[in-house]
Amino acid sequence: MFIPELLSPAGNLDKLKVAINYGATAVYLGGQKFGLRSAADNFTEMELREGVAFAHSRSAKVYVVLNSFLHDSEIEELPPFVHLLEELKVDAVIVSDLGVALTVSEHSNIEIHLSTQSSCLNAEAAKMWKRVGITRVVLGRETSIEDAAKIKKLSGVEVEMFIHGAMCMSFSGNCVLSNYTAGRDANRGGCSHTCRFLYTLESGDEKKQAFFMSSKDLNGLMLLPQYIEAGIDSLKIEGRMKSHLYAGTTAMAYSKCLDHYREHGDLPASVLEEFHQELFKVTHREYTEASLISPAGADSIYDEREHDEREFIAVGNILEVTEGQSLTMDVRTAFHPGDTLEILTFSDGVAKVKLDFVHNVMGETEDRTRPGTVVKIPYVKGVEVGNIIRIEGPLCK
Amino acid sequence: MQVVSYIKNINEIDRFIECGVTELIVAPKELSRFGDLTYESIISIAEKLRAKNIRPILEWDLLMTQSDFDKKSELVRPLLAHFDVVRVYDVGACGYLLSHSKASIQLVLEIGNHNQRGIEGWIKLCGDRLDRLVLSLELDSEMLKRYTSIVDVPVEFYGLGRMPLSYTPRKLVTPVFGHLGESFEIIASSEESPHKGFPVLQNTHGTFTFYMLDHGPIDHFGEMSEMGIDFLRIDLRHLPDLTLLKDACALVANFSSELCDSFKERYPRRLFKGFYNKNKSDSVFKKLKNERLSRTEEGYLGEVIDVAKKRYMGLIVRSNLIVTIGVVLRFRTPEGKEKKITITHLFDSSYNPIDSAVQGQLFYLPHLGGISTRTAVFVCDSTH
Repeated sequence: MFIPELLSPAGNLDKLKVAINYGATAVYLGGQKFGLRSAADNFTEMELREGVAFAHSRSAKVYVVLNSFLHDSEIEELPPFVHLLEELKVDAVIVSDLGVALTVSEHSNIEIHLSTQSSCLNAEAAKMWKRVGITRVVLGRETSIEDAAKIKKLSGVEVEMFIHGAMCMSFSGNCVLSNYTAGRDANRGGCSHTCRFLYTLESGDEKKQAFFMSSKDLNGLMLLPQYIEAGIDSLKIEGRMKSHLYAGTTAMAYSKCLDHYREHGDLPASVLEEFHQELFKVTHREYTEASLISPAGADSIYDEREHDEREFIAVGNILEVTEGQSLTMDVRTAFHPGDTLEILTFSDGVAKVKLDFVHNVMGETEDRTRPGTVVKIPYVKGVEVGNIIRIEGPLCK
Repeated sequence: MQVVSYIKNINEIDRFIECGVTELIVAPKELSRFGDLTYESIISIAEKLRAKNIRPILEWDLLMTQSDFDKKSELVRPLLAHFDVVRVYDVGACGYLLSHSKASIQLVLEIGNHNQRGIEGWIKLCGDRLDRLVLSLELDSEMLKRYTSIVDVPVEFYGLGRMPLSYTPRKLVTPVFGHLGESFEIIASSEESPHKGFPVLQNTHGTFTFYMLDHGPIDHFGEMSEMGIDFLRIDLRHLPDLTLLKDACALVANFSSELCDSFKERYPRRLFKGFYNKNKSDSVFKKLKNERLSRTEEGYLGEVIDVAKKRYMGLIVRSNLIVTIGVVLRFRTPEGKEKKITITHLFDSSYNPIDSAVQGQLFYLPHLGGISTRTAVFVCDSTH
């Protein structure tokens, strides 16, 4: 049975492990150069080595982004990095520039995927990219599932589609607002998110205020059966800059649904709905299915000030498990003894723990935790190192 | 260096001839982002241009989803009998023309494509069907000079006109103002941004934003001609008439600073040079990250994740280095302060003594003054 790959973002090594532990079958990540997320942690050579080894030991693939629009001087610096990637056996690189694609193929046999930044939207475009050695295209987010299937069939190229996360309002790679208004090249990692601002719009004498260029976030979970049936090769989750909670929750929700399909050959609405609810527990703007079925309309615009719509807040990660006694966790958001935390296990769903005690490393009781510390909380069976812990946020209370 | 421009109205032909223009872009509403010529009119326009020895170029510069592409390529097919050259932006449109026609191709590379390898790649892909490359607006003069000297097909650069900034197929203005017509413009400005706002155009193809000033590195037209740019595009469709066309063409043909100054005075909008002098739009990147938290240095061990001042600090080992008693550790705080200590005691997460800590392990040391969480830790020496 054909099941698409679930491709999660890995902003750093920790998030790579989180994504894979929660069910991603592939991750994409950036090195210290050549990618589009200048502000993300990204991977050092040592972390790349460890990340690739970790992923491959769990049968997950690793794709490295080289999707910045590179200048000549950077193209010259690229071959040593490409050699390193080949030595590490990364599974593919993701490029948006023809010069980068040609340089990679000249210096290695690494598979090359075309980034969504290239706005590949039709089969003729995919065929052109195939001629220069591209084996997979990450389709522009304007593409419908139906069109994606047609592109795959007509071009013979693998297709990858976004299924979740933030979206550019513009055709990706075709917005230079930041370049001219903030002096930051959006296609080289400097997008200043001008599209998320509040604007005063003037039409003749009439003035109105609106967040008219801001897009809602994509959420394609309820359309997962259509993605599978259309033969989409890879389902991509956006968000290398996002949190561990986001990386873990999105990987878990989508992978559980894919697992269900693999086991039962279908995805009933009740299963989809259960995991759809999980996606409201992470940071997100209002959700939209954008252009997955028909071209995105007015209801895909997020005409609101950016605000926290998540129902849950990440409070930390499990660092150590002392069997039968306690769990050691780092604290990222303050909580109190008596609170109930939720721990996202890797395979057994969500475990709840009521905090009968909270101790510091000296065994002293903490009345209130502080971010940037480590504490011990009661033991819960089935919890493992790396599990993410969350707490209901004010929206739920 | 020759001028290429846009024709909006068949009655304008004589004015273009007067200006010495030898080719004109024909932009049909259905196929071109900012085109407003009806599909029915373009064949007769092409014929009339050809009769006057002006080369007509069909513009098909949309980005197209597969469904769109199927419809648009059906529209293009019959036009190929009337145009022998087509200007495209979508790589798919380029591929379609290569495999379904004999038309020459003008390939627009106006965003990205800032390296020789890629530019040469496009030339090779299009082969002898490539009539012209339209070079990126983000190239500065040094890069332009370099590419014009190495590229063996004619190249074009944008000389004068509106500066498009973004392109979405979504209709962004209608939800705010309701239906204002098939094509209309508004002005958008934001207090959250230092720039002065921008015109927004919504038409049948989606929504486009433009820079408030017009792109016009006109002081450098002479230089551009010397560096070997073959065509300069002048697009005055946003102005009320073509009065200034002749002067713009004169500037291209015989550049002089007097002409240039006089042109600037009469041009109704403010001009800017874009990135012609220097493109520094990636110089701020190094400020986007706190380099003091960098993990790229040799000896990187991990970071401090737990601090109780004057009591203890907890560190997590992120690298494959092993920490033992006697090792010298270097700490670098997020503020950049550095401290070193030799490890004399090591503790586990229950503060029991241990001899060593390995990757992924949490270990504790007595607190060192000034060290906070997120401090990067490096192994700088070992007595072992």
